[in-house]
Amino acid sequence: MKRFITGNHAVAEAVRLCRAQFVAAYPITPQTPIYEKLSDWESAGELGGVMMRTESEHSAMAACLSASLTGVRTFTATSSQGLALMHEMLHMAAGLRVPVVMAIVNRTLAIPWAFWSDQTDSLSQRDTGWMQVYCEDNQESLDSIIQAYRIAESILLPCMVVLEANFISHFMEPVEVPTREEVDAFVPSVAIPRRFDMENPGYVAAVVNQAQYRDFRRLTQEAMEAGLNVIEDVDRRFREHFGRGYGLMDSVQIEDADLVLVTTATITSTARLVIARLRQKGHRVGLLKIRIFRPFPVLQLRSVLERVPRIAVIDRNISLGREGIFCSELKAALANSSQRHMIQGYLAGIGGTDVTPDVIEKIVLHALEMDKATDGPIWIS
Amino acid sequence: MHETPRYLDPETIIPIARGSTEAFKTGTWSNRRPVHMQKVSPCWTGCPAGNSIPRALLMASQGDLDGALSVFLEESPLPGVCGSVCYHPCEASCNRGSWDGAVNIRAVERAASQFGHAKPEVLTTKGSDQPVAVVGSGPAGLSAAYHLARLGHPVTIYEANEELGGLLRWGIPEFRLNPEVLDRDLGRLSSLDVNVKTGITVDAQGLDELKATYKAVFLAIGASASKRLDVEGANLRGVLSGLEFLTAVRTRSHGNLSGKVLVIGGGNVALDASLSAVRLGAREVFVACLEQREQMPASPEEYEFAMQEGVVFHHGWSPTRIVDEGGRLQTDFIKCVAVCDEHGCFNPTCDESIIMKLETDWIIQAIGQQADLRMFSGSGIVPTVMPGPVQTDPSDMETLVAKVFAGGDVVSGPGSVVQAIADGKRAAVAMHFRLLGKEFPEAQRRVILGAGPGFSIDALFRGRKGWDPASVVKFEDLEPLFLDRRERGSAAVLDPSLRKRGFEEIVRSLDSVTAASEAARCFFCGTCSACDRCYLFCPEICISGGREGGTAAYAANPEYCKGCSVCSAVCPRGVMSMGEGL
Repeated sequence: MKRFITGNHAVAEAVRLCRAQFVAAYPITPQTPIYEKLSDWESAGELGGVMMRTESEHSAMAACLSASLTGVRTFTATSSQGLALMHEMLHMAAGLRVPVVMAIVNRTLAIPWAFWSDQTDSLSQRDTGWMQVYCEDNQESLDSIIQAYRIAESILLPCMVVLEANFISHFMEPVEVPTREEVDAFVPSVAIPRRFDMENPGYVAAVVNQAQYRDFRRLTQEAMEAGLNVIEDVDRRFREHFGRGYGLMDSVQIEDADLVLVTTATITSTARLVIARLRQKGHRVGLLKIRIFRPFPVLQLRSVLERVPRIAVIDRNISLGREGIFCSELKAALANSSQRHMIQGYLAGIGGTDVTPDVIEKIVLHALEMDKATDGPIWIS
Repeated sequence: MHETPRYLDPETIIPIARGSTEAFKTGTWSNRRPVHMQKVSPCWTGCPAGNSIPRALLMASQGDLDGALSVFLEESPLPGVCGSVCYHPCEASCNRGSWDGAVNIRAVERAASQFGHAKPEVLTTKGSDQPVAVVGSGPAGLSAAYHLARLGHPVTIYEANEELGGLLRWGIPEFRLNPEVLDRDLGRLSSLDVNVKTGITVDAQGLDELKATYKAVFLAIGASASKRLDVEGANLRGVLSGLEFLTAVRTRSHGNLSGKVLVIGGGNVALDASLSAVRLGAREVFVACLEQREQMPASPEEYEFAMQEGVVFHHGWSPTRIVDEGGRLQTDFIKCVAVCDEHGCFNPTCDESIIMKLETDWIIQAIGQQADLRMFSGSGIVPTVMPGPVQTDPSDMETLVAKVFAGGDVVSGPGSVVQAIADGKRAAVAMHFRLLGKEFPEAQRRVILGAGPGFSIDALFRGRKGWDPASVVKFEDLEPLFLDRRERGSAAVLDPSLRKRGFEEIVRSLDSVTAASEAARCFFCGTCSACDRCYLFCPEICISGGREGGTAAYAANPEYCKGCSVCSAVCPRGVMSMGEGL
């Protein structure tokens, strides 16, 4: 049944449908409506799980990872400063291999204070060992939460589902909300290993030596690498079950493209229109949406872009001192390609500025005409 | 069903410890590691004989006087003798001295010799085809014979008297050294290959014969000739010599003394003579000496005894002449204002304007002894130019005559019993290596105690692991938090009023219980007592060990030890120390 709801609401629906047993969170704009919605349901007896109102995001994650160690399905959500505060616990969650699912509503990081969409908060958590899924719209946000539980619990790694402030979190869109039965049939009942077990107690914050640390990291990396197949498999089954899917990435008309525009999240929707318009004008351009950031689908990207001579990447984020983070990641992924690519990075939408069709068209045309890419990003305003 | 890949096994993908955290090894945190290294104590290095005092006292403290005696016997044949008459330099350096008074080490050694049962151990049989002779059976000769026999050499002792003991038997009064104690020490020689020939005085010709018969000879005839005063009247009737007087008293060949007796001299022989005179019935006994009380070579303990028995001391007087005043002896003195010159050498300065006269019936001159080497003239032992005491190479104690070695008072002049024992031990080792055709091995340098010169013959031949004899534990190295304060235990002393009736020994032995209690005051500096503190305090619970057989050792498991040094900090006796880069 389609319902006209915000992205935050869609996320909350997914959490409830997945029968999350434990939600620990702390409010922060623009994530707060998720928290409020779950809270409303809890007080109405409609959540099915319990909520823990922690004094900080750091504690929220500590609570989630602890609960998860007892075999409980958990959820939290945060944004921006809250995510930054949680950073230490993100490493712990990944190190403890707990399948916590978290919604991140991208928001600018202070300073200056602002409340707009910007991906730097979640991308800053790149190296914490969390899987990251970037959503294009409200439907994908809901679906990605459902997928995330199945993925995370299969591979025993935490997963963040990332949606953008305002453009998803607060914009209302028609969203197909599956029934409880449909979700129950897709998301298996909880079977998370109970590593906190009163009958078989253990100490999980132990100190290890150098070689042991290395070996644990290596196992986690192996899990991450195996995660790509799991993500693809879960998405394929999701498509079979619900009739829609997303893949590791989504490509549009790239087979014969002279240039492929690489986007993430909501900018993709606008770019779809622009690419269609430019195709009508005779430009051989295509579009590639990167959906999964961690684990990064290097081989898949290399394969898809193999014959594409020109690539333009739009980033709504910046690693200060370098460039847009997706652009850097893509360059690194293609560094070992047999084919040489011209890859040009553009910064658009930073601070939640509007990325209109005209802006995107300008970027594509600019990239088509370039002789040589600049090493740094080009700011579009 | 697929096998679960390693990266998905819930029990192996996270650092989870069930039951024990030992899966997680923290030993790489630090390159510092505790090292269980036994060291030596100041008393041990302070003992010329090299007695392993903390080890002996550790055993005594546990009531094991057999074990304590066997430790003393590692380095010396005469624990009873030293336990009675040693001037105990060990106690002077005892770390407990500044805490609550030095441990009464001498008394514990005496008790071990009295109540313990142990046999000397043979260290090697390598000397078995190298018979040696020892001339003289005082402490130096006995020590050399004892250790040479322990090194496998067949030993023959030649003693001029009819009984063994030399100075110990004839020069030290029975009230200071109980003959039973001496005989008990001598009795332990019987288990060794030591042949005794008494009543034989070795002279130059005899020495030549010994050189021909034995592979080596140790000469330890002591310093038995009393020096005589170089003053008018020193040869008058009634003027006796100290050592001869003591020997006569000891052999009961001296009659009673009546009237007043003057003893001239400030050493132990002088005080022994004064106390002997008291026992022979002297009405008044005076001691006149150059030295002030604190400068006297005599032991403070014996001085106390003399005071208790009414001996009157005249300090700082130098005799100038002795005059026969109608059957009584008048001694004239001038004031001695300094015994030593500015270089610290014996060179008295006197003020002739200050005089004293003492009229007595007897005079005993006890101003020192020297070796009597007349019978060795022509042997080559005594230098023909500037004849003096026997000279030896200090590195191996060999005299000017090859394969004739010497030690004790015959070389160094009157010294202490314990120094003579040390000389005998050192000579035994030197002779042994010489006869085996070896230079002093490097191993001997590794058993030097502290800065030397003492060394452990036991460690040299039996080896000792986990021990650094060069390292001396200072008071600062101890952890006094664990140390109680308890007054020094003293042996019973015969009441002064009862002493004059005979030659009963003044200082009695501790009983075995009191000896154990006094031994328990010992800090056992540098010697592991298996007190388990390192084990108990280790926050990582990674120290293991304890006592195994006779030795105690602890070690930290390097897989878990973080080098925090708690074990080293809590070690009461400086055994656990921190090492780098291990």
